Amino acid sequence: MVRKYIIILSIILISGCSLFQDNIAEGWKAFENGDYEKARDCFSKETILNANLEAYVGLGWSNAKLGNKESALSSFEYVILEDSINYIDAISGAVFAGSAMCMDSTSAIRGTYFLSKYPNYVFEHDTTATFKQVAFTSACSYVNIGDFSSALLMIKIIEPGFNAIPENEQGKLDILLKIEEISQWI
Amino acid sequence: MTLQIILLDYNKYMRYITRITLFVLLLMSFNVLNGQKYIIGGKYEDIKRLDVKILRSSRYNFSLVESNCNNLKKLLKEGNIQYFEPVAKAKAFFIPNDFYYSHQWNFNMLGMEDVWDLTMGVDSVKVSILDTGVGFEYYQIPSYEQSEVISGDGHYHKADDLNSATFLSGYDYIHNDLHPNDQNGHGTHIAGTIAQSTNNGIGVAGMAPNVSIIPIQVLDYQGEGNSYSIAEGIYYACDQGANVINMSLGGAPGDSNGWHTVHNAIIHACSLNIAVVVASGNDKVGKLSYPAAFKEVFSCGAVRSNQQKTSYSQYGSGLDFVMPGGEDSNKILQETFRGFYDGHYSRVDSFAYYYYYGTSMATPHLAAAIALLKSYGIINLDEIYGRLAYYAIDKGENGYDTLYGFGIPNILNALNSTYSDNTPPVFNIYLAENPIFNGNINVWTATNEELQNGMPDSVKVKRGSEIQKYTPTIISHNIYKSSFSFNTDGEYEISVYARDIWGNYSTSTKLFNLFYIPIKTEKNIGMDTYQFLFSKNTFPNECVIQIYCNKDGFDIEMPKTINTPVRLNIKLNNICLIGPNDQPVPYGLDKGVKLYNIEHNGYYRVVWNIKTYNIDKGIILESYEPLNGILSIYSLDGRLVKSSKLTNRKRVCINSISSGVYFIKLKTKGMQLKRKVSIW
Repeated sequence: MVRKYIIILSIILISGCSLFQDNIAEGWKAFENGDYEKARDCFSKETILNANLEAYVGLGWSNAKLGNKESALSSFEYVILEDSINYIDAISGAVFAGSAMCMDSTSAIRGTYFLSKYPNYVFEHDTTATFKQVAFTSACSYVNIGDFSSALLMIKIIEPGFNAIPENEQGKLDILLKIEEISQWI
Repeated sequence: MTLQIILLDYNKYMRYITRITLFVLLLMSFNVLNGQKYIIGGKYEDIKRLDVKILRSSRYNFSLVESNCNNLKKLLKEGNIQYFEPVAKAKAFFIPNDFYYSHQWNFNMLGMEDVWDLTMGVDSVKVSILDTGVGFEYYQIPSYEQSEVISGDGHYHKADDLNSATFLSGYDYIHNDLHPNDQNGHGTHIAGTIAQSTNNGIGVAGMAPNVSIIPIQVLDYQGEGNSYSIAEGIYYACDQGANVINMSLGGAPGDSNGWHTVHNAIIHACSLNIAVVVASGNDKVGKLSYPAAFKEVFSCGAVRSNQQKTSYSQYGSGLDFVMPGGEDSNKILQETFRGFYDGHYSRVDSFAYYYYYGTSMATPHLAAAIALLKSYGIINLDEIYGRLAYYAIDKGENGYDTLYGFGIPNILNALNSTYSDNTPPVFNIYLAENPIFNGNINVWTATNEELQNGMPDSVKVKRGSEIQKYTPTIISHNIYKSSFSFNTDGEYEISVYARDIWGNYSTSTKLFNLFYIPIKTEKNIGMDTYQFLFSKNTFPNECVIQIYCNKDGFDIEMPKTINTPVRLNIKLNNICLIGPNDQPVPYGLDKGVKLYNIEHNGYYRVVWNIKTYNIDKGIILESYEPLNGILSIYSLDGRLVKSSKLTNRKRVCINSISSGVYFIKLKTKGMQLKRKVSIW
C-alpha cells in the first residue's frame, strides 16, 4: 500500500517538474518569437503553480514588452527581493521599468550597480536589451534627477569617446543632445 | 483576616497604581500625552470646535495648537482642517564678534557713492525687517520682557545712528505687542545696513537711508523663533504696504518641513509685488535653508571683500545672488548694542559699532538694493530680478552657477540702464524614448534665459486633434523635464510655451513619431525573395532593425548564418536602407517598390531619406542619396518663402529665414516629401 502511494507521489512530482519545465521553456520560446501575451500566460501559470523566480522574471519581461510597466516592475522587485544574485535579468528589467515609472533615483542607482557587476550584459532572450540599453536608461534617469556627471559616465559606457563638461550649461546641453542622438538608434 | 485581605489588596493595587503612574510619566516624557505644537490651517471658528488646544490663532487663517499627530491626521482625514505641520524652528544667521574697524569696504565694493548720486531711496518705499526687532524707540521695557534684556534705566533705546531713519508701525510677534524693540542686536545691525543715517557726520552709512523701515520682531532675545511667528510677520508686512521684506533667518539646510505656512505667506507677498529677500544660511553646505530655498524669494549668499564666496555661505540650486557678508578680518560694520547678546542678555541702552559677518549681513545689502530700484521707479519684481541678474558681476563659472547665483548685483547699472530685453527666449527640446518601454518619452527643454515663474508655462503634446498639457519640473538651471507615456503610434507635436522675465513670449515645437511594431516579416513571396511589410506608414527619424538572413528567410531577432543572398522589398517612399557599412544599400524600383539585395548579415537601419538639423535662422537638409528636384519652403498659411532647384545634392543649407514654423516640400522624381519644421 505504502509503495503504491510512493509511486503516485513520484508521478505527481515528476509531472509537476515537467509541467514547471514546460511552462518556463514554452514561455521563453513564445517570448523569443515575439508572442508576449502567450509568454505572459505561460509564466503567469508557472507563478501560480510554483513560486519559481525565473517565472517571475519571465512574467516581468513579458509585461514589459506589453507595456505594463507597473506589473513588470512589481515582478522584478519581487525577484530582486528574493534573490538578486542569480536572476540578474530582473535587475536590468527593473532599471527599464523604474525609469518608465519615473522612479529615476532608484533606476539610476540600480543601473550603476548593475553595470558595475555585469559590464557586458546581454539579455539572453532579447538581444536588444544589453548593457548599452541599461546605461542609456540610467543616463536618462540621472539627467532627470539633475546629476549630469553620472549621466556622462553612463553615456561613456555606450560611447567611450564622448566627452562634455557636466558642470557648465553647455556641457549639460551636449549631454542632452548626445542622449537624443543615441535614443534614435539604441 | 478581613484586615489582612484588605491590606493584601491594597498592596496589590498600589503596585498597579505605581506601574501606571510610571508609564504615564514615561509617555509624558515622550510628549505622547502632552501633545506637540503644530500649525494647522483653517478658520479659527472651525478650529475652536475641534479637540485641540489652541495656543494662538492668526487672523490669516492658521493657528498654533497643541495636539498629537494621530489626532490631527484624523481631523485632516475628516476634512476638519486644511493641513497641519509641526512648528519649524528658525534662528538668525549671524556670528557676532567684538572686533572694531572704521570703514565699510562692502559699500565700496557695491559702488554706493555713484549709486547715491542717483538715489538714496524715498520714504514711500517701505522695507520690512523680520528679525529680533530694531533699536528704534525709547520705550519702557514691559514687565514681561524685563527678564530677557538689561537696561540701566529700564528702557529700550533708539540706536544713535538711526536718528534720521524713518520708522513705521511695527509689531512684536514674540510678545504680541506693538513695540518690536531689538532684544538681541542682530536686527539693529541689519536695519543699519539698510537705513543707517548717512552723511550726518557720525557713525557709519546705510545703503538706502531715505527708505522707511517697518520693524517686525519674529525672533526672540536669543535670536530664535519659529515659522508661525515668521508667517504672521510676513502677512503683517503685507498689510502694512511693505515693498521689500528682509529675512536674515531660516531653518536647517534643505529641510522644508514646517515651512509650508511661511511659503503661503511668501506667495501672498509676491502676489502683491513685494520682494522677499532671504539669507541662504551659514552652514557651509550645498543646499539652501528654507525659506531661502523657495523659488519665489530673492535668496542671498555671502562673499568676502575679495568677491570670493565665504567659507560659510550656503550655496546650491535656487541661489540667486551674493552680497558682501564678510569673513575673517573683513566683516560688516554697523551700529548695534554695546553689550550684544553673548549667550546671556543684551544691554539695550547703549550702542556702538560692531563687525558682524554672515549671510544675515549680506541679505540686507540685497534688500536695500531692491529698495533703491523701487525708489527709482523700477517696481515690477520680474524686472527688478531681471536687471539685477543681467547686470550682476559674474563670479565663478560663466553665467549662472550655484556657488554665486548670478553674481554680485551691479546696482548702478541696474538703476541707470534703460535696459529692456525684447528678445523672446530660445528653446531647445531634446527627446529620448525608453529603449524597452515604447512610448515612454523623456522630454527635456533647455532655455537661454530666465523664465517667469522659474519654468515654462506649459508643455503641450498634440496628436491629431488631441492635446494634452503637462507641467514641467526643473532639473537644473534653465533645464526642465517632462515625462510622457503614449500607447498610440503616430506623429506627435511637442510645444513648449514660456515667457522670460521681461514678459517676452515664445513657443517652440518639435515633432516626433512613435513607431510601434515597426515591421513584420512575410516569407513566402517566391524563390529567394522575401518581403518586409511595414505595418504603418510613419517612421521615427531613424529606426534600427537588426536583419539576419539565411536560406530559410529573414529573421529580425535571432542571428543566423547567411547562406543565400536574399531580396528585400520595401513598399514605402522617402525611406532609405542603410547597410552595415553605414552606406545606403543600392536598390531597384518596381512600381514604386524599392527592391534591395541583402547580401550580408548585420545591422540594417531603415531611416528617413532626409534628415533636418536646425541652425541659426535656418535649417540643413541631409540626404543619404543624391537629391534631384525642387525644394520649396512654405509658411503655415501656404505662402511660398523660398524655392530652389537641387541637382545631385546630398546636403542643402537654407538660411536667412525668420523664426517660425514652416513646411518643407521636396519634389523629386518618384517621390514627394512634405515635412513641418521649426526654425529659430
